[in-house]
Amino acid sequence: MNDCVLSVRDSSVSFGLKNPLAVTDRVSFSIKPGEFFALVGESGCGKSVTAMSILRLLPVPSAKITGEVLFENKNLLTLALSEMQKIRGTSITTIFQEPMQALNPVLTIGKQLLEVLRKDKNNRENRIKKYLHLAGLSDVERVMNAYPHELSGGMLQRVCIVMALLNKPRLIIADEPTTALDVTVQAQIMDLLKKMALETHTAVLLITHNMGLVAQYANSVAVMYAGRIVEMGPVKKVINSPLHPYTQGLLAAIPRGERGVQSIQSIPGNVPAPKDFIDTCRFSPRCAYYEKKCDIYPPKQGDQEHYAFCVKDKLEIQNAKQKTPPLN
Amino acid sequence: MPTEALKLSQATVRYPIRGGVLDKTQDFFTAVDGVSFSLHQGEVLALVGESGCGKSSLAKAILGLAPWSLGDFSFFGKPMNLNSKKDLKKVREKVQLIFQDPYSSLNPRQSILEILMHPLVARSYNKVEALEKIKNTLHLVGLNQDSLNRFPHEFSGGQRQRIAIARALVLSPSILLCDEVTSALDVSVQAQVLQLLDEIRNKTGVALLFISHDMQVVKAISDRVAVMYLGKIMEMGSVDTVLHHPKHPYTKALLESIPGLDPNFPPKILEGETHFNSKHKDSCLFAPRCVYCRSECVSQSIPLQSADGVQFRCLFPLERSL
Repeated sequence: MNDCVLSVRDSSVSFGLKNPLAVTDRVSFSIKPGEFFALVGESGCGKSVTAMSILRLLPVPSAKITGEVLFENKNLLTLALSEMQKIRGTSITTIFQEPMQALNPVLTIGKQLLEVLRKDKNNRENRIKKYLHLAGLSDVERVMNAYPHELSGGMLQRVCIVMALLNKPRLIIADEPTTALDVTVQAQIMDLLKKMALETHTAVLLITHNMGLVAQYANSVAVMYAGRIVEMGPVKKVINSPLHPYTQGLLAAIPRGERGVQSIQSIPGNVPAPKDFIDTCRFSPRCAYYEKKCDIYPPKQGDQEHYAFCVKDKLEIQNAKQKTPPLN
Repeated sequence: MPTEALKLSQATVRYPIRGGVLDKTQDFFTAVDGVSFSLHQGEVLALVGESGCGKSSLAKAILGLAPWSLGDFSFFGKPMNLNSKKDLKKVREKVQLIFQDPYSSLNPRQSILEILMHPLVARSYNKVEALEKIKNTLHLVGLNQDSLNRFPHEFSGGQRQRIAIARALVLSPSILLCDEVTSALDVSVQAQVLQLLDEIRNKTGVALLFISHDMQVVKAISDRVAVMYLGKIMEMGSVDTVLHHPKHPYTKALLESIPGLDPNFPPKILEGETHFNSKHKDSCLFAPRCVYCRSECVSQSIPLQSADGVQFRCLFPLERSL
């Protein structure tokens, strides 16, 4: 798997020194160069923790990360902090959810962008201007001289995308980049991110809870539930023929513009908190197809490309579906 | 025809802009500009629009939480002055607000019993009556009686929103203002809350003013919808017509920018951002972003017109096909 930009192997994160609380459990995935990879799940499923563990941006010493995070054949988890510092912001960059909080309110946009290029001062102002222009901020001079509060949320997120791309990274981690924005602006920003990533052949790790965004922009997707990856595969396959009951439920819960609240299905129960995580299948308490045999650590099901962690295979779930009427 | 519970005409909300050494009011920012609509018993009217369109200001103004500057308000046919304390008290008893974030809208130091007791104590109910009401309401929102002695942190997001709904319901209101009630919730529990609201409406006949930015949720729960942009209503009518055959280009653009699950229908991009430009104060506010914009759109004022049971503010309404 040497052709991957990033490959995370059996990464588990726990918090706390005395009684460590495991938040994610044996998460494995890999991202190819230029790929748009989505990590999707509900709040508290561990998707952001997984992303931040790649850059080791979790609080030390409380957070403990085990497993391997391979980036350019180096294990980021065992790297010296000074080496790690060289990778952050240059080879791997981040776009955060709240552009207003990601930028320094007392420095102009121009100053903050120049700072990103402080190692390579060659012609940097022109490079920044070129990127800002590409990002659709045509009034470059005004943007450079503006303070964050003078720009709108959408413009700030464009600035953050430029900031993430300036150093020509191999991987961008975009943690819910459009959640704080309006739908019309969301479409603009996602299009820009996809376009610029394609042009520069940068891989993107998109963290989101929005299945629509995954369907529209990502190539591959990993669905997380309660700290574990439950299903992974190419986006088309996962959305058109989901293997895991959770993915199926999640897709059915998305309102599709039909009339009547009965048209939206819900998954009964709630997402468990980390202290309530169980060792067997974590979705089983909410699963409609639960049986006694599910009380084990769920095995891998499916092929090399598209797989899920579930005791039952596709056929078994399909049969069960025909027998039991749908939920609600 | 069900009774008209609420009627607004030409409602306007203006926030003062203060400045200078003496902090005097120098100008006003108009958040809601001449909005008129009525809400009938048992009806769900959705207010949709992007942030800054004035949808929350309008809900707040109905409860006297934002300055009601101009316009008439009547409640069950009776005109009310929202700037008078006496009238406001009457309105606040029968109109209840549910907030977006159930994590910050419930006091973490109060038990559920205390949280639900407050509205009843304020209306001087006696203890026995109050408890009876609380128990009935809990049953209505699908919570157990033993939750009464627990605290908000012991509940999940969906359950907290049920508690917030219960708090709004204990006074048996005739109108619920739901301000983005599901946007802080996960998709898998969102449907539970929507179904609960629908069930409550069917059981109690309460009317819902459903404020949301999620068009798909609006399509599912509402009867009528009003699309707002920069404080003005752009289009209003039944959900089936407005959201399936929009007349206003803004409604169409809003619908098309939602990323759906089918990659064959990618979201269409609406250029520009919501930005108030005083140049367009009297003409079409959406004109700077509109792809169908013509010279007439920026030179004259655009009144709210009606056709096919839909009200819209556009000179060149779109044909009936999407």
